[in-house]
Amino acid sequence: MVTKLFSSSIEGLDSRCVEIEVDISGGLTSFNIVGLPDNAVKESKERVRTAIQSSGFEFPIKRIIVNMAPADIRKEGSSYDLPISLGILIEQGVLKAPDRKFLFAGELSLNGELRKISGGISIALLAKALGMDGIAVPSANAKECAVVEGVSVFGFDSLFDVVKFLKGDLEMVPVKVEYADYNGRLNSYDIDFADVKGQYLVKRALEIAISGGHNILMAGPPGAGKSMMAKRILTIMPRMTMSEAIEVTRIHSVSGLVNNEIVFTRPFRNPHSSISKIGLLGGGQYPKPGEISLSHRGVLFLDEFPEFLKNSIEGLREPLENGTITISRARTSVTFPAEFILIAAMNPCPCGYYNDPTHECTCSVKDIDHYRRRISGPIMDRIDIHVEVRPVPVEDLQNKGAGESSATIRERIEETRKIQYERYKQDKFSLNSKIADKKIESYCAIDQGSRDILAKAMKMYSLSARSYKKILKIARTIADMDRNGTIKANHLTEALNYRILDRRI
Amino acid sequence: MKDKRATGNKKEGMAADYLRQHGWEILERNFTFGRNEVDIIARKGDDICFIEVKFRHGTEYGEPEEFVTRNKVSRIKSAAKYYMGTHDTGNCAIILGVIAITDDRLTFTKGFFQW
Repeated sequence: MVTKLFSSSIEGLDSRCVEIEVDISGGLTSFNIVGLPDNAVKESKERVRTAIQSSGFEFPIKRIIVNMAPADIRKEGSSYDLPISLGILIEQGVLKAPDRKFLFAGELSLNGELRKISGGISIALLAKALGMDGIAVPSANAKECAVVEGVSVFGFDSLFDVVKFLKGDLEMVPVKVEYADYNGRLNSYDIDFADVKGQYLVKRALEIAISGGHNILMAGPPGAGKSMMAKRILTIMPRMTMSEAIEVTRIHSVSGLVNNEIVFTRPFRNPHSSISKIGLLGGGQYPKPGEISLSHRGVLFLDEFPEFLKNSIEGLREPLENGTITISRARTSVTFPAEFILIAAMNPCPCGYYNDPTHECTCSVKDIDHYRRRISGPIMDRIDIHVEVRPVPVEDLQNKGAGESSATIRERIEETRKIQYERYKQDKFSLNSKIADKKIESYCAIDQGSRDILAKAMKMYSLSARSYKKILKIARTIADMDRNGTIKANHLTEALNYRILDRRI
Repeated sequence: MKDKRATGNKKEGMAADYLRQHGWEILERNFTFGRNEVDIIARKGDDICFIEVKFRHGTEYGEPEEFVTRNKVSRIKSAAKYYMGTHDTGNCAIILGVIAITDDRLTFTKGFFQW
């Protein structure tokens, strides 16, 4: 008799059902796994053998064949340990095959305990789609899986417990997670925007960026506070809705970054400039999400922007426009979501003091030109807001009064976002920066006076068609922050100011 | 050399006695196929065990089990395949076993190697 159990394999963010068939027969004793397993799966033989023995069962000295179907997709990872050992125990007659349709996943330790696996939430979603009766996962993944409604999730600590449960000797209730307090969940940080002295214009620009989901580039001399402000973005990010939280958790789960809980706060990723292209954009033989996907629905902060590999920066073009990245490899092609706010910081020149009122720049024109050229026109064009960071005057620095606190700013941002959600509830997008091209006319209507200003600016600074749209979108956000239904001329001129920096310096 | 053969026979006899005491039926002693030799073939229920007997006086050079090399295993495997072809083994599991004997112990290990 052949025993058949269900498990899953991760492909991109989705799971596919994998059938694990186990057969034990006579003949030359052996233990083989077939069906395109990769190395981690082949190694599971040793874990399974020892785990079965340490759980107090006998490991059969027989001819054991494990088949994973469909055989044409590559199986990777260690989550097949559990279904394989259960299959062997069922074949041996230790327990009967479960009469309910269960999906099993879990890595075994040598002493028979179940270890955390990656991609738990994807497995739960698959079980739901297939209409399974339940899933059995390590208890370290149970809460994460239980976020998916309509699936009974059972979390176990050891192989022995799973066997007892399937035999009916152990009563278990499906894991339930209550997120009633979800909306109140905010992290506390020991940094705050009140620490930032002066820099009112930059703070304003950052608030616009977060409110409307615009990308922003800060250029300024060293020590002016670019990184300091960027780090504090974390403290003003609006709370996530439940569906956003699930989206984010899923990506983080596939990357093994979830700690048995749904991700509550918007991600803030801050990779170093030495990051590889695959690390940033995602990829690998079996594509994994990169930093841009891990910062989905959050912020990607690239400090020292020109120091990043040219190739990686150029790779940001499509994700910045589409909010997704498609990674094609010989074997597979997967699409990861990547809707992030890009916050980039750079110096205006190699020495850092170009245009600084208190220092003299020592760079040659050629040096500056070379430095600026690392960030290409197409990338600059896709970054909505360009803002110059000036050194903080000493008067501001010694000013005792604290600035606005992060909590105040965050509440304002949430209010501004609420206005947008309300306005775009019929649409596929929900933020000003994502307004579809054909809707710009109606959502970002401006009067004749403003049209003239814009037309003049377009000619004067030779702005691109994309810039034109970006200006309107930023103006929309500024108007929303002003709680103004229509875009006024002063909103538009402020927006214009954020687009013409690179023409000025 | 003569002495070595005699010792071997004596120890294999010890091993066979041990197996009989533990409910195994001895099917063959010194089963040969070409240059491949199996010391003992024994059967118990649905298991047929191909057994290599290893003797060492002491363990200062390592445990006797350590002297069962890959090469030896593949020779036993060839013999086992020949045996399966010439005898009716039904649906029995064909197991490789090692009986290690030193001056103060006798250990029987079933499923010593995967084939």
